[in-house]
Amino acid sequence: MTNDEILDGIKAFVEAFAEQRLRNYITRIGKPGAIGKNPKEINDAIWGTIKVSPLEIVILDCPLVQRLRFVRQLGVVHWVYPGATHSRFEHTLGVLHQAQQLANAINQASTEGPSMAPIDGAKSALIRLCAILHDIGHGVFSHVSEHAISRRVELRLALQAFSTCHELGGKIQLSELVAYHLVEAPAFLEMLAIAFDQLGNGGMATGGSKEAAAQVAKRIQRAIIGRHIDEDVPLLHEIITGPFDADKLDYYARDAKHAGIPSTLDISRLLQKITTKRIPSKEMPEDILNALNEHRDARVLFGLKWSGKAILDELHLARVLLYSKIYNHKKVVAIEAMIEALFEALAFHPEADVLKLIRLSYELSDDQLLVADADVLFRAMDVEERPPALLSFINTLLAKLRDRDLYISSLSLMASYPADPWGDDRQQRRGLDQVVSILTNEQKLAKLRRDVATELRSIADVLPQAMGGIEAEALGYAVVISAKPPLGSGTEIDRALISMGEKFVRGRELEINQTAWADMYGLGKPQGVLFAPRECAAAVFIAAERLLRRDFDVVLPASALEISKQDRDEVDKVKRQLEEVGWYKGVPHDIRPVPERLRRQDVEVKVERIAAKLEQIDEPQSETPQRRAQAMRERVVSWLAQFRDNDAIECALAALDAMKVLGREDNYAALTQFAELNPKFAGATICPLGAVKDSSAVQTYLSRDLEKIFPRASLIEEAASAGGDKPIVFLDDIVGSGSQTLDILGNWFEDDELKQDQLEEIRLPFGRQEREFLRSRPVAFVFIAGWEEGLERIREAATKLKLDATVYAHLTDNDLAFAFEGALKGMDPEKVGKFRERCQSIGADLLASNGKDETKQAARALGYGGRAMLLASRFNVPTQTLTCLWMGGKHDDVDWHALIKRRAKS
Amino acid sequence: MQAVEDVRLVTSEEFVTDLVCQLKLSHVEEVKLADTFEDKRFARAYEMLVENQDRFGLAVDFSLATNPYHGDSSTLREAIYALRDRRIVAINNPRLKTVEFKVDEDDANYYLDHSSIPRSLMAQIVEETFGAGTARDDKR
Repeated sequence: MTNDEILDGIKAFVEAFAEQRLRNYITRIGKPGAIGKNPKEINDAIWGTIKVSPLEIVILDCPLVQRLRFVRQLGVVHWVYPGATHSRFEHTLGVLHQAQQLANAINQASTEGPSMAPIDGAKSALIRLCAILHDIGHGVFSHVSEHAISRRVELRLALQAFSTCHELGGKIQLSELVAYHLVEAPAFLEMLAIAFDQLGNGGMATGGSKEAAAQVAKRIQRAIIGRHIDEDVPLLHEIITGPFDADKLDYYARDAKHAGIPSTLDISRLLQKITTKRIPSKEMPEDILNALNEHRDARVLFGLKWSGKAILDELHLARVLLYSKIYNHKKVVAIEAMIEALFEALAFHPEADVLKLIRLSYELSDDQLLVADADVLFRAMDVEERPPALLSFINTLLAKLRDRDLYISSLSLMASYPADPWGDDRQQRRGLDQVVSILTNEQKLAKLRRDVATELRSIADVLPQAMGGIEAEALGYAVVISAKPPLGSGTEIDRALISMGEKFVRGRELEINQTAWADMYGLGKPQGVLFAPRECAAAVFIAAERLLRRDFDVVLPASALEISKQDRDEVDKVKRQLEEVGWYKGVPHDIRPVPERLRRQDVEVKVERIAAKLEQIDEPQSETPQRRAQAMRERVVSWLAQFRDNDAIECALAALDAMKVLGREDNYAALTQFAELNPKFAGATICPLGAVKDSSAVQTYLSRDLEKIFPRASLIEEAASAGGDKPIVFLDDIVGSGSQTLDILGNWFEDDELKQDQLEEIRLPFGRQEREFLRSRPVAFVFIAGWEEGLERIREAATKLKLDATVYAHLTDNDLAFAFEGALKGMDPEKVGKFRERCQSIGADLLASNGKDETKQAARALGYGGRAMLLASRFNVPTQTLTCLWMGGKHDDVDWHALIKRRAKS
Repeated sequence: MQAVEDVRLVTSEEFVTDLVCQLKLSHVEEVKLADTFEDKRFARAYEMLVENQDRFGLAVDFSLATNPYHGDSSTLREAIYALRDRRIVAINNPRLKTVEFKVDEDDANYYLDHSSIPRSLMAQIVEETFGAGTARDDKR
């Protein structure tokens, strides 16, 4: 439907609705003597006696206003605050009372004397009618149904088109549009004309009764949409909708009182602080003047005295407390979500359209809807078909409402979660922001909801018991994503005029912004919530979690469960069941269920110990950091979880426990012991075995702790250039098979047999001077750790090159840990065997995903040399170390995250 | 007017986010909301968006038109507060009237690239409504 079709349709419906509701009443009041000539007094629970005029009685008694007795002011709040059962009708009377209070205060504050009171009898009568009629457009459950229907994009655009057309400077709500059309409906005008005919119009209009009715209705219409209704008191309409209007003064107090919540608002003080001034037009705020048509020398403005500006604080605070304690109470929002689910389900009816949904919301009262069944609702919508799945869902939902078997929060959506290990990750931040921004876009929100439902159906396919009996067809409307706007800026309150000398300034121009505390109150609250029936709440969380991970690159942190008040055990149970049936295949590890082995109590202690050890390692910094937790503890757990299988995790834990990290103390111990065993090297020059890009450079730097034994350290080229007769000690951290050292020597001495081309490293040859220098003195190759195999190859190479060489390693095979050569001794050999196969398979996949051919995959799957060493230095991880510890890539088509990243040589 | 399913709905938050990002890329670091100067500029930007919505297959779901009696836009201010919750802007200065743009250029480009509103249109809107000559004492 186009905007015009919708707007015309609403107007036509409203006129028919007015006719249907008013016809009998018009007939009744048209009879002689039916309209009383005396005023009445009504006792209000909050304000006491409220006087109403005979004209007002006619309006109050009409079925359009009486209907408000059956519409609760707070929609569904009484499910949470049992006392909050007050009706829109009671509120209407309260607004009438407060409108008069404000009018009286404005008049009393006038300096022009009682006879020149700015709000005379006619204006007062008009504003009182506006008060009575301001809410007649409300449908069932007040704002709840209105907001539910207004989620239809076509209605939103139509309402926007109306607002633009009438230059409202904001957006009209459906209830305001309905009220706007009700007061100009032919039946309403006829009723008003009858009342004017018999009672007069109190000076509100001129001409005959019909003409007067049309004039008055037009002005009420203007007040309803926030346009001025008086040229002399241009902000008169703000008594009904303004910074401190009668509406707020009543509902702030009435809602708080009925809910049993204290209110900070002091109305009597507010009324005392009202001030009124007749101001020359040329000194009035330009914005107001621009909106006025008639030329006048001066006009009346009202506002607050300077001494009363603190009342704005009270208004802000009262508003914040009401919203946070009542209107946005999580259970209230949950029940509203159920009403939304109801309207969403109704919208699924093949014959449904937005006009039929609107019609339904005015045909039934709150209680009628509650005791109704789906048939009744379909009849109210005037649709014929009765789709069984819809019937069943709606009947169940209505029964749930009656029984207070409420929807619960499945997932609270936030722009940032507390204690989020990925909180600083740009992808995580952007992903969460993207989700939150969708909450305000009904079109995208509808898609998000459909996507959640699709995920949910995929769960239902493999694990139907997780749906708690909800039929697959109903999953499209069973879940509701509720988004409440933030408490916000309080712009309307800050528009209040504050007296400064002879002028007025607006509240927003004051030096201090009163909304600051209101803002603080709202910080940290979720921006949206996924509500679902209790029976499938865990499944909905899991479905949403997978969706967010896949489509938004968001990993929900543990705190998301806490904030969502999810049952962690239930969620874990369902996730494990889903993993068993393969639902997580191809899904990143970081959202899969925590494997059972990692839930045991000993894990915490072991992981703490392992994390403390691994935190010593200074990882290479990367421009594009991998998607993984910052904290080492989290990182260890998530690395272990990638194995999925409990036995493999058990072995991996033991492997990490056995892992050694070489530190400064090992450098010190290695050189000290080497010097003791080889006294001829006392006074030797320490040289890095390799170039400055190699880790040997760092070990050379650390050797300065032993300056007394080894007084000099330099590059071999510098040492050769300096000459002398001191021995040379080449230092490096780790040697495995020795290939790299052989490559270095092969390049230095240009020995092709020793070069290891497969390493693809570029090294420059020595000149003659360096070679002779090395051959003329004792040379040592000292390693902090080394394999016997590699040490032996170096000895042979040194002999071949005619070097007087000593080759030494502080820690050798027996001192080092190898995953499958003793590090896991004492564990079930069968489990260890399977773990080895797993590591091999993972390592091969990672190598493949990093572009290595099958030969290399086979040779290096457990680490270069194939021994699955468990060793790292504080600056890097050797390639001989178990591959899946340091290499990232793809395994089973899913990202595998390295526990410790390695800096590649090339 | 195109059918609802054929258009991309644009919300106030998305439009104001895009404006903030485009301004940030133009080296504007903040706006001040003590009076209604910015409300009017944002309202002009909004009008340009509305004028172009059909051409780009957009449907504008809001109005930044200023209130006829008070000159401000509650929708603009609510959107800015929502952006504050999303850490796109900050209002943590003493008077809470200065809206500081907190997005970095990377994020600004990201938001603009992922927006329903074409970048070319946003650039044109900012150039014409916030361009040189219309600014007051904003840091530039």
